[in-house]
Amino acid sequence: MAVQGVLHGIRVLDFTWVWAGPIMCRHLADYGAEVITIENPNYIDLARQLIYKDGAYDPDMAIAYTNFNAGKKSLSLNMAEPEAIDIVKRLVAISDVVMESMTPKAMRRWGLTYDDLRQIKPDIIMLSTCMQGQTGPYSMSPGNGAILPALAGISEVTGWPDRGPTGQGGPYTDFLAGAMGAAAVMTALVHRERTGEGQYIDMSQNESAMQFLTPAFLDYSANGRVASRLGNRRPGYAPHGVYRCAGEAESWCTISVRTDAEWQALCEVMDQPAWARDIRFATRQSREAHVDALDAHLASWTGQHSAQEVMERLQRAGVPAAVVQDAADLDTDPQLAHRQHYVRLQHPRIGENVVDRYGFRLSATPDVVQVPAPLLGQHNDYVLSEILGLSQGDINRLTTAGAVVAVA
Amino acid sequence: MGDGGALQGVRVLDLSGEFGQFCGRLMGDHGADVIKVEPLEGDNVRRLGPFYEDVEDVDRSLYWHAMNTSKRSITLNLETVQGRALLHRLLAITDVVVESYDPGTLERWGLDFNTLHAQYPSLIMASITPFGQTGPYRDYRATEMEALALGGFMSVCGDPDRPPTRVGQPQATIFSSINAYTGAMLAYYHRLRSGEGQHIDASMQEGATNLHYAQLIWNGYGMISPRMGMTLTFGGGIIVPISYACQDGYVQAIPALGWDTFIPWLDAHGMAGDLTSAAWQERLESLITDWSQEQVDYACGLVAQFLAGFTKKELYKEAIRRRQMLYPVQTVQDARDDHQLLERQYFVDVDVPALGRALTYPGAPYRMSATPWRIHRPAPRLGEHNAAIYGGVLGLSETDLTSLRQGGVI
Repeated sequence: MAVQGVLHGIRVLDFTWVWAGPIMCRHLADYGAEVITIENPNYIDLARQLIYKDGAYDPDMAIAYTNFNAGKKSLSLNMAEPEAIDIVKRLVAISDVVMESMTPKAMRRWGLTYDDLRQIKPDIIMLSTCMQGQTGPYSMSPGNGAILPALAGISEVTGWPDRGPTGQGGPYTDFLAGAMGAAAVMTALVHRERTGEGQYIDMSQNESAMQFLTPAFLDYSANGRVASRLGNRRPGYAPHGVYRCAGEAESWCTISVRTDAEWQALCEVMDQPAWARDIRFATRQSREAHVDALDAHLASWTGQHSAQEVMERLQRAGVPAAVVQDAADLDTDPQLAHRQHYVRLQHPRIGENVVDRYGFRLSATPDVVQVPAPLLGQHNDYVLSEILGLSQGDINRLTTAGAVVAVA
Repeated sequence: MGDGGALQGVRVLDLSGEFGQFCGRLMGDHGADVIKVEPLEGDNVRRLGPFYEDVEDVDRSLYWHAMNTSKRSITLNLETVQGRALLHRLLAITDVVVESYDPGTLERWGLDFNTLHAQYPSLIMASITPFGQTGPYRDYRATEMEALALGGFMSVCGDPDRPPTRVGQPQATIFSSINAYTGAMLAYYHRLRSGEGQHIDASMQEGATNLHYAQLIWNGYGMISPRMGMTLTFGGGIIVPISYACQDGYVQAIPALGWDTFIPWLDAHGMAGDLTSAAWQERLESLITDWSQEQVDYACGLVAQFLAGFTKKELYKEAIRRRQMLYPVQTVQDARDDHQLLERQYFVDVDVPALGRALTYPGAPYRMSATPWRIHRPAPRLGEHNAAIYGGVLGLSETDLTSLRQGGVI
């Protein structure tokens, strides 16, 4: 078992903010990289403005920020000042990865494009992520993860056939991009480890998200069919849906049946009701053709049992079924507890801060989520004096000049 | 080196079913030599639609084609002793195994990670399952929908007056496959430095917890997030609609984030109502959280009336010109025609001899300057590469192969 993280010794400069970019960078921090997030208190990360445990605005108390930035270090610079850019360039010289998620003109304006950075550090890896990519007629168009699922084709297929598209509960494409970006950076690190060569990664969150609709794109290409909303149905499965269960609070259970064996097991659990013997439900194809009636019958059974009971009885019989859990349920979920999925960190201002891990575990070089997210500018002294070797006099001068923004 | 992809020379055995195939695909699209190992009757995904021309056939599943580019295919019956012996011969020259068997299956066959690790200490294994290799739900049956349900995602997806729902195309499988891929890259990086292999254990339920932030709302406010449909809630309980019907579908916009560009747009068409009045000008400069819901409804009502009169294409084009945050709700057909995607040459045509035609795929999920992503070959036919791999790589003779076929091994 490794004592240090697998990415120990890798230094990342993080110019990302809100969700997608920080998620990518947090993956690297979880595995031992030193991730320095460069923040400007005059343009505060939106995530530092959302979800406060005690209600009052405080950029150091935002749970939205602390979840996606655990384990990072914060350096507060005013990038409008040329001396701030000098500091960044000095850091680039001793860093491995630069991540940014601004509009394409920002790094250009600061003279920190990939071409600029590779002059300083030839094997640097740089990843830029934005809505629609670094090039093309719409590269500079304003966008937002809350509505990008619409452009990416995901909204069209989310919701019910008899009404307009619905939302996925949040900036869905940001979460997809976070995972995809981590994959991209790790691919580049592997390549560099094998060959010594760095590179530039241009990641359009729209282009990334559309990978998640590949079967639908192929259906259009091959068959001319345009996918749209199906509710909870799925071709090739019957039943496949979400059913209301007993209880005063809203509660639901999924049931998914593909094989004859699963269908028979489901009927057995329901005590072989007469309706299930109807010829319309004998085969999967026929069940698919009569799915409204099927769903109505199932709902009258599930309505008599709690969601937990439906899940447990069906699982014992080998039928896929699952409680539709909410956040309180996740808190007490036994499987997530077994996997130690939620970590309780101690944050200097918030106190106990629950942070989730990502959905995979490594056996020899596991992720370590132990250090809370930084306070704004918390690591100015560490970065400037310990990493860059600046004297206290230098730091004072840079602070007076406005390049470094001191935090009380 | 770069032209062949970042993973050129890396050898992958992909034993996975639906839950892991995108992981193997990503490795192959990055240049790894990926061998897809299938049961004799073909992987189950070959029986999942949609199908080319709606004809069910092992080579016509478009879901199979979506998940299995850049791989070669061999058939192998791992239930037989001879089959597992053949697998061992391949394992001896393999760097990464991808699998998604029910936990316990590989143990039965003596092919679980711990057993293999003793024999092949540098081998990396990536496992993708609904709940992980251990724990109280280890043996729970699941499709991707069950993982999304138990991961909390479905509770916040959908309309408040309808049941919880999901995205109408499989998501958790692809998402967890990407997680497993990242884990495998971390493991490979470690192996390059230490020679040591390891096991990646990816859980679709855990992946699903990372697809929403209901947990943050719960931890912050002790509140259960309701389904919000196509609305955003601002502080003070102000609800702002995001989705607007238009002539040929829907667009999504957040006018509250850009009244200074949206109102002139409405006004240019004489549809700004009272929003250009002095009273409204003052209000528009304040935070929307300070408005009443009636005021929000009035302003957004004008937006809705305006947007209803145009097509998706017209609105998107004008929104771009006016730097207004608005996106059309694109169908796959719209996306194929999208100006930005066409200029960036996003879509990729792949020749698929098994179907006698080409298929147009979404292109690179990200663009790497030195080692570009590339679809190296179409998804394979069932057992297409038996001769090339059993014969060419393992050196088995035609007689050997015939005997193995007759024995139900390949």
